[in-house]
Amino acid sequence: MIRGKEGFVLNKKPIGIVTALHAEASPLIDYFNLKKDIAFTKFEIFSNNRISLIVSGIGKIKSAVATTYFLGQVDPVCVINFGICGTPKPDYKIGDPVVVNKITDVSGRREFFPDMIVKHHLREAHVTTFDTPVTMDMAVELNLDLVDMEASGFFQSASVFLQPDKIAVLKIVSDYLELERVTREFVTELVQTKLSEIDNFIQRFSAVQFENSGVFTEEENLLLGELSSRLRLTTAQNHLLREWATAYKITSKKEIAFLNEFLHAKIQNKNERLLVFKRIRAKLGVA
Amino acid sequence: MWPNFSHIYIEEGAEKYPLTDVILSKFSNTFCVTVHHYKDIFNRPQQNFQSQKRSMKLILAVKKDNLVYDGSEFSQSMGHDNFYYNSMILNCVYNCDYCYLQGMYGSANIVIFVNIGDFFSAVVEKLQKPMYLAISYDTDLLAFENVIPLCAQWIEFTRAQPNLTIEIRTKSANFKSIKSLEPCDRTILAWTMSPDEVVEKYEKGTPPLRRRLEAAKEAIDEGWKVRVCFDPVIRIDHWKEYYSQCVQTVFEKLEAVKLYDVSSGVFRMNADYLRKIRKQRQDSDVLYYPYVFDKNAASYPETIKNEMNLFIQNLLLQYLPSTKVFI
Repeated sequence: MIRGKEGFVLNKKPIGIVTALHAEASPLIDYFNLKKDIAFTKFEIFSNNRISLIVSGIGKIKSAVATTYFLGQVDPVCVINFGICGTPKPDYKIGDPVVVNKITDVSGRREFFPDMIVKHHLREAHVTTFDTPVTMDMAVELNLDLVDMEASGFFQSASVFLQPDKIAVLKIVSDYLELERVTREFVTELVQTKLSEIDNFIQRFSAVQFENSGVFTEEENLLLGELSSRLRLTTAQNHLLREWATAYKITSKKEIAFLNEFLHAKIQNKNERLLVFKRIRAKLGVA
Repeated sequence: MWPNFSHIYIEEGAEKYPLTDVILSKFSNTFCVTVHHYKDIFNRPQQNFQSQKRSMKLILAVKKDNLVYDGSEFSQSMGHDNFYYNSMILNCVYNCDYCYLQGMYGSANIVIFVNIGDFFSAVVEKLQKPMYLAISYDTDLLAFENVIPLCAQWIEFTRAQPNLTIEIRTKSANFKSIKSLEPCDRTILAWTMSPDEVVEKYEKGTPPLRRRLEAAKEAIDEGWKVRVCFDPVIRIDHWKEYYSQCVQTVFEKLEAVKLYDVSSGVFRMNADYLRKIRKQRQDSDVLYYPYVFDKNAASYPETIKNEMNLFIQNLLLQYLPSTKVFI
């Protein structure tokens, strides 16, 4: 269900963004001119006709819950977890945008991999998700790249709804594990300075998303649904009808409007239904 | 054309094998990502095969078991009793519409097993009697040869094993990558030939018939045993005309008496694989022919299959004795 204030064009799903903090989200809300959608009460969701953004709260559980809610309600074509992260490595600069190619959940000792299908010019790294803030000593000892508190929860939830080529994680390095300097104002300013790179990545990511629009037109989908309903087809017969119609359209490259004639077939019993079903099958070229 | 892999995933333990170094040396601007087990990335749920085909990644791994398989029921044994195959590479650089790999694997990323010594050992264990081993079934090994010289290593291994005969099946035109080797009389180089109409429509990324023929001719001229495979034969519009022309072109370029043998087979696929592929893609009519799903296999109805087989057989028998034709 798509419920953005400005609404989304049918079959043109939005790009989803999940952030943990309002401080991370607010520069994006201003930049993309997103409006708060008051239809959603459990989480704050901001949308325009191209992008929909949810603020999850801090931590992987909150991120997972918000992502599940978001993908169930908004149904975006793809989703990006965007937010700040820390690093123990001085070769990263504060403000570096980094695309994540591997996520490790430190408590579950599990690894997750988004499909890296976007060509980009940003740095890539491995992020490790912790349940609590990490000390420099611990991060150095474990030889970590980036650390955060959301990515693994986000990814596990997103994977339930979307293919791995439709999930991305984009982080901005905010600190060398010195939490005291990560204030709300600092985070917002940091994101503001990188908006063009963030926008560029979002555009590239959305450009490689291919929606399977299906083989049937909207009218044909309605026709098949109507046929199934009027002929009172069983689930198995309905499945076969769609399979035959798909094969017919792809191999003949013709419309299936001729099936309209079966909408008014008179059916009194199971045998008559079977006869009509066989005629449909023959019309669709199935031996 | 070899894809420029943006990412190489390296399974823990695979980094110590020499083949890993060989492969990594070919790609400089590549992100290397370590993975605990190759299946953690290759077997993820809900992957989109065709989306991954547009940006294939390389996965380097160590295969620990099932290093040699019994011959598949969908493959021709060419009269050999002890027919086996192996898969040192999973997936292929090409993207043929009718390829069963789309249904066999969840991922289009390419896995290369780097522990070639273990594959050799597994074969040696079975060499008490003559063995026929297809080493390029779930992939196209010769197409990879510039990146990883597996064909060359298998040929040299075969040369030292009197009981072993290998087949290297390919659609590539990459004979030059093994041209410097001495021909081995127990290595069969098998080229799949298709009419250009089929190549252009269904065999995306593969060389045209002309280039495959040039490669096969060069191999014959160098003294290699060459098999020609018309497989799968696809029932496209005007198929008789196209396949007649294709067979004629093949025998104009290659001297029939110099061919080791010729095989042919109509399109057939594991039924579950075809069902799975149909769920994923609706963009190729070759996947939607009204095939008959019979037990485990999907193929043309029996009468059509017989007609196609007979037609191709008759074409081939104009050039070759029946002992050299496998249908």
